Amino acid sequence: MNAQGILNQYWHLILVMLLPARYVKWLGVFTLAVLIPGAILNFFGYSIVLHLGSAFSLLLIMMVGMLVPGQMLALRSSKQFQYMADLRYPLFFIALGFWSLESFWLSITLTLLNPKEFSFYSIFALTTMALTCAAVLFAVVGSYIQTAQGFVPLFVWILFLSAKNTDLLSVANIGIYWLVTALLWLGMFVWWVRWQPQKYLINFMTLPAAEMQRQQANNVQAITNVFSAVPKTLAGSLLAGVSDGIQAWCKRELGQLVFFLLLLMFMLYWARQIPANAASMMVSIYVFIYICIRGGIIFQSFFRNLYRLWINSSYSRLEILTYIERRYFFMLVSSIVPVALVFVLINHYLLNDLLGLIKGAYVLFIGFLFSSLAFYVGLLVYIKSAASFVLLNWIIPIVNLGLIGIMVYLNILWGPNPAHEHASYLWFSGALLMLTLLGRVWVKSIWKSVNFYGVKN
Amino acid sequence: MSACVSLKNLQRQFSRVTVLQGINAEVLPGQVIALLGKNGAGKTTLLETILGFGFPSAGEARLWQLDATQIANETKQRIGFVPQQDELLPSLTGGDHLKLFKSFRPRWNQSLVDKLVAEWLIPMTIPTGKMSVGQRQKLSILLALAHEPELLILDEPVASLDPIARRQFLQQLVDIAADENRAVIFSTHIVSDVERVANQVWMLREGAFAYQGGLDELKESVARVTLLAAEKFPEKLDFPDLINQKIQANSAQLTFINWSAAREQQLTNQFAAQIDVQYLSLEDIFLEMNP
Repeated sequence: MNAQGILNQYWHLILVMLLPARYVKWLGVFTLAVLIPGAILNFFGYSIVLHLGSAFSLLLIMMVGMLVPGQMLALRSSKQFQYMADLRYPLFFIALGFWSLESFWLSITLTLLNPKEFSFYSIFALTTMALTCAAVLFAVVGSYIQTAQGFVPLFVWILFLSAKNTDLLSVANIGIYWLVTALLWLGMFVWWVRWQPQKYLINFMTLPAAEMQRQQANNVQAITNVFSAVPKTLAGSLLAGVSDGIQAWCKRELGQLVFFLLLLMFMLYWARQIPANAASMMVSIYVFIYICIRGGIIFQSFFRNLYRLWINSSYSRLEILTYIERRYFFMLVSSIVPVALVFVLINHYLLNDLLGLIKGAYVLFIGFLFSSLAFYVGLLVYIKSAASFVLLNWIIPIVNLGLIGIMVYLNILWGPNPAHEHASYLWFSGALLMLTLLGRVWVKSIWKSVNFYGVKN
Repeated sequence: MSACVSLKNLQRQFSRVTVLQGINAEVLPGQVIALLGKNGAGKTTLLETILGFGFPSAGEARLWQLDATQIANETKQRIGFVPQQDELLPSLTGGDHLKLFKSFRPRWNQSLVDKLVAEWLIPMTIPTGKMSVGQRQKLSILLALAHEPELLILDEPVASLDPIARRQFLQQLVDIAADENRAVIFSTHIVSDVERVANQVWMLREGAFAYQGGLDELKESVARVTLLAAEKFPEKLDFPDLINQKIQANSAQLTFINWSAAREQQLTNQFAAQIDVQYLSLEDIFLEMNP
């Protein structure tokens, strides 16, 4: 093939690798639209637009950097593309070129910021090594366990924290950084050329939202299947999408508890690096978010499976409402209680009462109120939107973020201890309780004419 | 004429489960082969082994005399492949896919592409992740046809197509079949489609060929015979090539492969019975051979 043909192939592959989704293309266009006038204005002494453009360009290359490993794996593992051409070498060299350019661009930006007059060479070497490490991990981990890719940033973050006290930008380390980088790329090359994909590894980040949610639901279902056991009731199991038996509950909660503790350990490891009052704040936010997420997960199952109750249970419409309320709050409480008990013990014996009793109780209470309100808002979304899952996933976060905004404004959870100063705490929780009750009244008033739907994505 | 595909004692095992056992076959240019079999019979495994995606546990699979697992780019350019479930990139549009594939294909029939895009109503500006399964299937078939491959392998290509699209696709296969330099292997569950386009049938049962040969020969060789005798038949009859039997008192319904007039004479003489011979449709043959 002639040079023009090869260039044409590389050009199309670069487009597919680096700009695979419309949102990335639009971000690229927008970044250029800010950068170009920014550069002109900078020439006349106005630098703010250029800084803004640089920030967008960093966002763009980081986004592309997240997409590239997934695209590599998808192109290499697709049987259709395998029969189009042997893409191993072009994909590798495009990835290598992209990450080299990305680290060069990041290093220039960091050097221009010039906070402590670091040398460009040490920044470049360190950035290249860090990016190479992340890129290689993304690709290799993703090829074996795709869902584990999410843990790569966490791992890199832990590495960074571990090295926090060493002089990372010392000129003496430059040689080691380049050596590690070269070894990582060499290892990656050998692995990449020899790797035989077993199945098509779709790039989750390029999926449409509805498909992504469907896949996520499948993953959750696969995990819950592991914790299955004999169901207690048909209606309860159909509604939750998992067995509602005590044995299954024990297995699930044990898994949840382990997950909770692992994340708590990570939080505490991180909290050691920051002042004690900040650590207390972080732990209370963590417990609060954990409760909200648990409530959200339970409700999502209910949302998807609600229509099954109509045909598979003996309940009337209004009885179904009473039943799902009872089940939701029962499942929420039975999910929070074991975690709360373990946390109380850890807080007292291992953390020296990092979170005071009153504050801890308030965190649980406010988390419970958030989940209750979200339940009724979710039911309203179900009725009004013909069970649109996409809308649910927009409205609930917006409502929660709005409420969290009010909490920030009132200094709740990270402000004064409610044991001493509790006016805003009472106002906020009182208002939240009122909203929840109003939501319930509203739902109940329109529930008798509810249509049951198979959930749309 | 040299074979595009040759399989010799091909075997494939997955953790002690034997999926393919001792497959021998050749595919010559001009042949349109329908691969039939129940779910789990090993059709996809056979097609993927022919294409070199996985290594045989024993025996060999060759494409134009080359080991299928070692073929280079030049050989791949002679093949078009449509997997059972498409493996397209979800964020790319149909147009993006065509541009990318075109850049890697030395041969590309743009007029065929334009014609099929218009006839099959394949959207060119929608990301494939937002297309329906049928639309993605059509795009996959188009990507496999555009470079006019000498060997076309399709794994259940019509499973997600509506009847109109299926007819259009079959017409395209008929056109390909008219070119004597090209060969097609396609697996399907829609047996009526096979009768329209295929000239050869491979019937796979539990990882081995239950039948391998011409379609017409198959239809002529399988017969269902109804016997009405004055006396009761024994509970079970034992004949060579008898694949199915239903016996009720003095009536027997027997299905034979390799049916011949001599066998008819033999049955008449043996049971002193009234005999009625019925040749079967391919669907009935499939059901008889896969009880």
